[in-house]
Amino acid sequence: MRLLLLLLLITSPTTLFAVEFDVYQSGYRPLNIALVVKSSDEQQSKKQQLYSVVKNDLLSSQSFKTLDPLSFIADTESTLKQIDYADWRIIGADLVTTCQLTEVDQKWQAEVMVYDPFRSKQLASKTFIRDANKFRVLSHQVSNFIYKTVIGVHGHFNSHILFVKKHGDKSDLIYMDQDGANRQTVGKNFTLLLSPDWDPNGRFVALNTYVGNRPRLETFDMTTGKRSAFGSFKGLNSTPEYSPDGRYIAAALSYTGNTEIHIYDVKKGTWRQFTRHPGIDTTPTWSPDGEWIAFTSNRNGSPQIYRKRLSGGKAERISLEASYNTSPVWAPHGDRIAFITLKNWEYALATVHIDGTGLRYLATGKRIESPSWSPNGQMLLYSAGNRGLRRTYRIPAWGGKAEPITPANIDASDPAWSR
Amino acid sequence: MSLNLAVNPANQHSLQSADFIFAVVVHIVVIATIVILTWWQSISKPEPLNRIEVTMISGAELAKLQNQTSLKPKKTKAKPVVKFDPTPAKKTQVKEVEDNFDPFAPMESQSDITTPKQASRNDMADIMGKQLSEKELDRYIAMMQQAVQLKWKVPAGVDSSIPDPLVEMVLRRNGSVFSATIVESSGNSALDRTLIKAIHAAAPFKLPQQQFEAFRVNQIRFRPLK
Repeated sequence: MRLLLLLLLITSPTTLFAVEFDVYQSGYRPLNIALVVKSSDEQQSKKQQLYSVVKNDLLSSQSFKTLDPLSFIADTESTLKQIDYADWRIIGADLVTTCQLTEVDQKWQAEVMVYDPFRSKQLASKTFIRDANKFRVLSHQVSNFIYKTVIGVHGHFNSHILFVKKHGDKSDLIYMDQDGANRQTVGKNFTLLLSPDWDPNGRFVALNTYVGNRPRLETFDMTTGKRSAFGSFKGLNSTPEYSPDGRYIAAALSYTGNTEIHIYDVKKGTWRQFTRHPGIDTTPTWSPDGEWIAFTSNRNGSPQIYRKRLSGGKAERISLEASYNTSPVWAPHGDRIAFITLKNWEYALATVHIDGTGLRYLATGKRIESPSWSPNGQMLLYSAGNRGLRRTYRIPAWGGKAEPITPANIDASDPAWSR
Repeated sequence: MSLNLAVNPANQHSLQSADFIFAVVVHIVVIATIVILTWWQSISKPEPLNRIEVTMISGAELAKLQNQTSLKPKKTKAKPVVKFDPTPAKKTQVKEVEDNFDPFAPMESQSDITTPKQASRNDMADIMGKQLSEKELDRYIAMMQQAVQLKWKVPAGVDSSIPDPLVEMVLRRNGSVFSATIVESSGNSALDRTLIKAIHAAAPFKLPQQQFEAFRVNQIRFRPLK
């Protein structure tokens, strides 16, 4: 825990009648939320389903703690009719959310309200309607609405995750919702499958695979399952990443005799070389405004992270600590870069401001690899070794607890969060 | 060389006897010192301790005291006027030497130093009064700081680019919150809300009743982690 730093008042006579002081944030604390869901008696199972999806979403963000319904003083009926704030204050609820669930013409309707009992105020209300087969989407929408109202940032609960499942010599591409539901194999039996990256529209995946023992870059159409190669040069073809507008793919190629960052124009089908340096340049990542590319380079002897403008200019070094820094991934808000580093001789996941300040370690362990941001920049995924098998973990980007999101009995690596 | 010295028995012997003599001399000196000190202690009787009373006074009282002392020079000022008659002056001089002469009585020459005016002394008292309470003010501010910090719940990370918000908090005499308003927003209304909530949750604040006015209006700069 960080200590409170004191900054005391200015005592000149002119400011005597206005005390000024600073309050420093000491850490992050979840908010206590009471979820009140109501439906007709015949729809109890649907009500329970919505409740558990929303509860799980909010808990997984580590920004909320849901209060046990057994501790509620007020009953559901009266709360939905006219909320009595005192009843919720007394049980320590920072927030109360009510949700009236009804079925209208084979569609589900959720009427959501968020209250602040402390200030006796309704914060927001909204009604969502979805087809019956999109009930989970509806539930995640409720979570997103609560999250946006309370945190001020869009929720990531309707996003999806891809990861690579390796079995023997073959690899499969697995798709699932961010909460692990709807898990399915979308691409089968790749000869090695590395660093998949989602295009901004969520239809194509750029990936690095092998044909025989020759690496090549492919796009994979998630709707048709069609694979098409776009980079199969002599030597190394690796680590593709889509630009924020989906027009370009940056990747590391070595056909020039040295590994450099090249950029592929998806529309024109042409390549151009981006970096020119005797050192090895690899793992490119785009800034959200599309004006910079950050990458790993050993140009000064050890692998470090640099960034360079698309329009040219000198590469600026970002990582300042440790002798090993790789796999940069630019945050969706643009303010930070996540990367893999070394901390006390252990691999670590860390983030840093783009000027190299504000280094923040998030997790340490064996074989920590492949960081990936949630679309709202609040969470990170990474894979880590677990007795030979790797597992994919999720951790809040501001710190907190790492939680596995893939089963322990499969090798799950190279996670990619949808944008 | 050193090997020879160690083996030679004569050398060894003389070294031991010198040590013995030295030890005896040291003992004698120490015992003598103790005896002399004990004797000196027995003849010099300690004077009874004078009691000194220390009391804390307010700034106003201090000013009053200083006004009283400032009256003394007025009295002594009169003396030089009396000095115009040479004979009584001589008499008084003789009396001072012969009769019970008080070495701690204010000397005549002190009467010349009468420059400080009453007004400036009052100012000084004011400043002293403020300095005394400044530490107290700081203590109350630290308590407020801690209370707000403890109640400030930030549930998630914020964008590094946002500015640090400023909140104006107006208090009532009993320490409860009269109003808390965002003066400079962070740009994130959800974060701004946590600040107002922290202030309300931390209230009522403990305030010094005499100096409540100093705490009526407070400006708090919140520093979120970035």
